[in-house]
Amino acid sequence: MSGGSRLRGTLAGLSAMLFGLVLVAVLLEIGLRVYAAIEPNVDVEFTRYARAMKAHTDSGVRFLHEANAHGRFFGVDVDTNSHGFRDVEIPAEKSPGEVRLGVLGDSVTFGWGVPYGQRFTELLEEKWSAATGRPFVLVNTGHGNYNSVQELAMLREHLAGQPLDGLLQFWYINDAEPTPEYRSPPWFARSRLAVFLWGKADLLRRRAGAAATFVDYYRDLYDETAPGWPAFRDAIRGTGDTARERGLPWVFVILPEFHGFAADGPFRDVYDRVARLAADAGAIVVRVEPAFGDVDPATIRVATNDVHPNARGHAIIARAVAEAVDPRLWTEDER
Amino acid sequence: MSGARNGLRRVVIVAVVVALVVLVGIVVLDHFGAQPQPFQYLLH
Repeated sequence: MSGGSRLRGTLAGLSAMLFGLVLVAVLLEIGLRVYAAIEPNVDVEFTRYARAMKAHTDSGVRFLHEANAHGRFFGVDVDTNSHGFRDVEIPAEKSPGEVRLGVLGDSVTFGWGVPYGQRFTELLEEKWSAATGRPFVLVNTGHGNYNSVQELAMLREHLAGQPLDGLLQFWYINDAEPTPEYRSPPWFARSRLAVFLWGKADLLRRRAGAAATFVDYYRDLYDETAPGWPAFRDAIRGTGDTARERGLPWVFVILPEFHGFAADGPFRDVYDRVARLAADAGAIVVRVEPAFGDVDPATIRVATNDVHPNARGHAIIARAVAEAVDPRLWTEDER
Repeated sequence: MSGARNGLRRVVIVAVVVALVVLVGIVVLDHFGAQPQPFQYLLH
């Protein structure tokens, strides 16, 4: 065999290998797009949500939803108002008798995977309106990925002009994560293959012990030396200060971590600690985890691979909050 | 020429098999392994 034909043979082999790899990637991309359309996946849907709805802002919240946007994630329609909130349009002035509450929270409050009208905010509006005979309007500012620092910025910078009568904040265990610098999703986030491979590689790393399990990951957020802890602590205190300055009764709801609800679960001391912090900052603290005591976690998830609470989970949260909070707390004449 | 065609056929068959194996692996992990993860926002 001459040198020239050997070179040709090597080049042909390399070309065949490259072609094979590209073909595998294309086939997987097609297969995963079909699979993700049949069985929504949390990483894929959250990445789609970030790309379609989130926009950078220079304010302390770092990002907001696009105003008047529409999307469909996890099989649920999501529409934002002119403020970028997943809510109906909120008039600048209150209607006669209206009781308006600002609601701070993250993707759980946003109602990830839950149709509008079935979130705990709409359910509480109904319950409290019926109980008091006055129309309650809960301004749901929930954004996927917000932490407590961003929620304080939301209160100070984006709810400053709202004629509020009170404040409701829904805490979830990842709220002490450091605030990330917002960046647009990378180009490969368009690829289902890239998103699935990233998600499953992370899963395998955690299973193999090469990365923290979700229990250690969440618990470590509340260590005194954790990078996000000082900002989280200061944000809770700052929320208390702002609520006090504006004369807003502030209810701080502790949501349970949705993987499990055992009374002796791994986050009990974290709940206790956060409850003390919020109470010391002036909040009326409501703990929702006892309401989930007998609930099978699998029945309140939006999907097998996503532990956000579904409509049933939202109904349990709304019931627990309504039982714990007397709505007369919010009505001016009762204060 | 027929050797090249056979080689190409082999590459396509191997690619399809590899893609199927990886796809099944991802689907299995998606159903039975996803729950012990925290919410994670690297791409979000």
